[in-house]
Amino acid sequence: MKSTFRKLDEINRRQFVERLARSAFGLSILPWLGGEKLAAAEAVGLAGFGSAKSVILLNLVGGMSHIDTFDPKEGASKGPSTAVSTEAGFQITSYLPETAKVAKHLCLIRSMTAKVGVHQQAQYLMRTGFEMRGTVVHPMLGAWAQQYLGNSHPTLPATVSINRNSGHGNGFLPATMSPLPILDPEAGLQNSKSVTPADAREKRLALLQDLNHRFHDDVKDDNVRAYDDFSSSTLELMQSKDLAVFDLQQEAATQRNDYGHNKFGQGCLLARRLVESGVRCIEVESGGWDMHKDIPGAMEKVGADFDQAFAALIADLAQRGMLDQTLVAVTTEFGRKPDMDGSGRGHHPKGFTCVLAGAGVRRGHVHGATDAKGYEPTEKATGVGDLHATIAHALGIQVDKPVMSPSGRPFTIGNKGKPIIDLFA
Amino acid sequence: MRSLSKLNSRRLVIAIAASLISCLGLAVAGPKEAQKEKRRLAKAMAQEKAEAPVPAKPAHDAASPWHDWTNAQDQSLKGKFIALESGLLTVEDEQGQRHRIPVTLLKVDDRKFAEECRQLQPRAFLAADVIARAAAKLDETILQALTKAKEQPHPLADDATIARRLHLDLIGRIPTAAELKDFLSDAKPDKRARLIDSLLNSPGYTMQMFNWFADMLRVKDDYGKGARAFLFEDWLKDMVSVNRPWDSLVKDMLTADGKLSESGPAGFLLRDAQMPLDGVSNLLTTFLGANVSCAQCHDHPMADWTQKDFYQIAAFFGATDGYHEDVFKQIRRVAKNSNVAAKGQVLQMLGSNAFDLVDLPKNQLKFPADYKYDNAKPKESVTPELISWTKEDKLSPAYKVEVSKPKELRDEFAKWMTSPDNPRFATAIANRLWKKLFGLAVQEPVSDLDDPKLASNPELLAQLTLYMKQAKFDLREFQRVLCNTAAYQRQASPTPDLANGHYLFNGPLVRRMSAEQAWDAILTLVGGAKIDQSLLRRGDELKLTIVEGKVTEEAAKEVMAKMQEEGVKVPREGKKKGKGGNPNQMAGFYEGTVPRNLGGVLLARASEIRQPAPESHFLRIFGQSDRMVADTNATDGSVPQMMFLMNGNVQNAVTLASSTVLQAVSRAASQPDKITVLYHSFLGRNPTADESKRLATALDSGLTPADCAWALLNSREFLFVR
Repeated sequence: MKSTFRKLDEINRRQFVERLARSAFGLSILPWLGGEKLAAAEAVGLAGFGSAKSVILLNLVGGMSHIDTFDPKEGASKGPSTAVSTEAGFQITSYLPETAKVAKHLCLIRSMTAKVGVHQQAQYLMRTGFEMRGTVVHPMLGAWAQQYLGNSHPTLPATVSINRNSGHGNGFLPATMSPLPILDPEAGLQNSKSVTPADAREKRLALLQDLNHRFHDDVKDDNVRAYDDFSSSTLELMQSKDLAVFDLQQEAATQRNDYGHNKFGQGCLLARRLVESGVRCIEVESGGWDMHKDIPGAMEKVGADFDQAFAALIADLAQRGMLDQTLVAVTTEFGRKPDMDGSGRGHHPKGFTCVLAGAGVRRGHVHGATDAKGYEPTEKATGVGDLHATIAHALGIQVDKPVMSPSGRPFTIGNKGKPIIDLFA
Repeated sequence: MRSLSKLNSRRLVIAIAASLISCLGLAVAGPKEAQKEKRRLAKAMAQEKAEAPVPAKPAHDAASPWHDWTNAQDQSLKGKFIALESGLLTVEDEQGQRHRIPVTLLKVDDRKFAEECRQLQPRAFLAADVIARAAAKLDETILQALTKAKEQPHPLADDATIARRLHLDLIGRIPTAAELKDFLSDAKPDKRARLIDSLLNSPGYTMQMFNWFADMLRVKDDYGKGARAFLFEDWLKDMVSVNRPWDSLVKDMLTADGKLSESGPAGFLLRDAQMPLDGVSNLLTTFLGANVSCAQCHDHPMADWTQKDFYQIAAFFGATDGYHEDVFKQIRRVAKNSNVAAKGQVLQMLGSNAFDLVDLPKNQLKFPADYKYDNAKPKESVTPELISWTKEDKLSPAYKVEVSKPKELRDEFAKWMTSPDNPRFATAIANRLWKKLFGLAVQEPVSDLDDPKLASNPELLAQLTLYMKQAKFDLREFQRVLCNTAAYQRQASPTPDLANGHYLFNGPLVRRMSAEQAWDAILTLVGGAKIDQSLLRRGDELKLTIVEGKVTEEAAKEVMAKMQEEGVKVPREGKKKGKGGNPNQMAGFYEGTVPRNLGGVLLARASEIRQPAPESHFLRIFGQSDRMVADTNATDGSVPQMMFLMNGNVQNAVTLASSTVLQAVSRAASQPDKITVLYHSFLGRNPTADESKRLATALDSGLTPADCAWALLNSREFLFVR
């Protein structure tokens, strides 16, 4: 039994070294970015730099109506809800009663602006900080962070994406930096226990290793290589002591109720568990925000689930003393039109809202504003790239230092977006 | 007596047919007369379906072409011959419903009869020499580009590689050991062409094409608000089965009327009925590669499309209404207060009634309130106008459309879009099919063909466009041409870095199997070629839920009563559990054979289970699209995929002694034979001498064939297509 594991470790070590070698191949951070000392030179003195150990991105897919959530308006733009005052001094809508209770922790960016009003392209922009192009796929934040800061845990992945598959993950960075996808938080990480009887395990793996050998030599394909990397990370992870982090059964029933028994709620709970275990970047997706029709009906369900889970997450992190090192961000691909179309609204990228909380971000603060009707920012217009740069800054990444893509082009986090230092207390 | 179709037992008159007894008295005629009579009949049927597959009203006169189609178990279905394509017989019953039956399940006589009926149909098959000439011309064009770039084409791939590639590309699964052996031992020189023909004419072709369409058309069971699109899915499969030409199929979808629970093709536009502008942008992108989506909100930053262009073309759908909120509110009201069933059940039962594709008397589309350009005013009504790519486009006959009658706007649009003279329609589908077979389109991305000069080989793209038109949009014939090119049959290239320049098709690309191919490949190992015979069909029962007029408590009761009368289960409320369909729940929905459940895996192919599969299903873990956005099937790796193969239910099923592959291994007499069967089954090739030795060592050292099967399933080579 013992020898089995030693042998496995040997295989893993070998693969691990190979993987590192491959990761370095065809891709390099410019040499002066090699050491952390150098990297931090300029940004380190600025507020908020390195304030976040982890990031939780709550991604509301479909386009959250800013007017019906965090940027209420009166007059013609007013939706089916009413504006409610919070102890933070700003107003949100009556669709978010639980969020109102944690408003003092929140920082609203009401001056988000973008140009892309189509889901796929706009989601791509919000996830990567870049507009979609035919010839290159850009990495998402978790992968960037892994590139600059390395792994966040010896065996657990540096990035986990909950409720979605890992597309737009690593981009041009190595496949090992792509997020680990958990499509159903209730199910957790399925099939993580080896089913092979211990006596056959070593032999099976040795045979598998040999079977793969010839194919690798024959087919020198990047995706085949990526699969080798996943295979070795899988073997490592299967032996990790921390696998239990994916099991929500280990949470108290009351805790699970607090977050809400739905995919988003349980996803947020899983995100908290992952942060506790040292995972750096977690994305939790919530679907159903594309409210062309029937905003009241959709907010009753999708909106209420979000409200409960988001408020529970903030309160839970605060109560555990984790909020100071965890940056929570509510993102969405665009807002919705100030003009009602029946009981719904169309897509509106020109002005919308994102929310930050934790990790030294100002509490109970509003950054920027849209005009009286909610069409576009009147001050402090904030691009998606700026938001990315701000989050990366909080993670302790000097965002103006480029990474070279395999084809030799320099890229920076947020496509030259600027961190908003003003957001940090 | 059981029936061929699940519906039969409930609604159809079942003819007891121990032998071939047709309602037209064939049994009493002598053998020769019978033959003659049959031929006459078949001819009559074929004529009637000359316009196939436009559903003809069932004729009730004496000469009507009814026939009792009987299978080996003496179960029969009374119906009219519609088509025999891809190994699937399509018949229409007296209620006008279509059924598909794998022809191999029929009695020999009926199989022959179906074949005769088919021979009499007008068919657009291209002759073998036409195919060969077209393929050769494509090769010439590719070779020219390669030569110019000082590159060489790859050598031709060997037979085994080609067999695996063709099976996966055309029927969506790997060959069984037996199928591969047959092909390898065939000594005739034209065996590749014959394999292509036979695969294109087998039931797996429909399944494979359905998966391809499902990703592109965002096929989804559940449209939200209780509405389910089963009828659309059934229809799409029927259309592929009868090889409906692409232009007709698209036209059917764009011009359909009616409820989601009533009309199959209406399901396409109803998919986006709650967001019609997005729907227009989706269909222009998918069918024409027109990158107009940005213009929905503002003038396109790079291309020529303006916001006005977008609104003008969207205005062709300005008099179309699909989602009826008033009806949904009625349904919700009934659901809230009803005693008929639980709230969720009532929604599921009646929800489809709010999705009804109708034409309005007036075009409703207006420019948006924040319209900021000078060429139109905010909130002004939009006059429909077609988009064009060049100034000359508008001179083509496709552009002669009539926009004065709101009720006919969609029809006019459909005429323009599906016309062979449309500047992009043929190119878009040709380019997509090329990508399907070569792993990369001639012009990428397939969703943006605005500037055809950006194609990696513009001559090749032009030639493909021409052939698509010459094949009259017959997608099967077109693929026949592509598969017969030397370019397709060459050794594959690793994924090229397009940032370094165009890929000129020295051969197709090495690809990871799509999620659907991987699932169906694993099923092949577990259940053999029989998995092609289980056909899911769930739409018929939806028809019982149609409510004419206002949705009231009374109407809900009536629907409930109808469903009970027909023995249809009211959908259950609450969360759907189970991985890819609880077999007990789904069992009643299969035509052909009911899929078995082995080792925790339901042996139903990817196209024959829920669409899309549930999140924790193998298919989704391996990248099946969630069907929210077009063309998002992915082939990237992940840790959960590896865990699934190492420890999940699929490895459990494959390593069972009763799996098809291990059965075949146990039948093999010698150890070398067993090793060959393993290699044939998993990797579709003979093992090398070294590999045989390695496997022999493994078997001698105490590993079982099941252990070897586990290792082969987990090997990189299994998941990849060369």
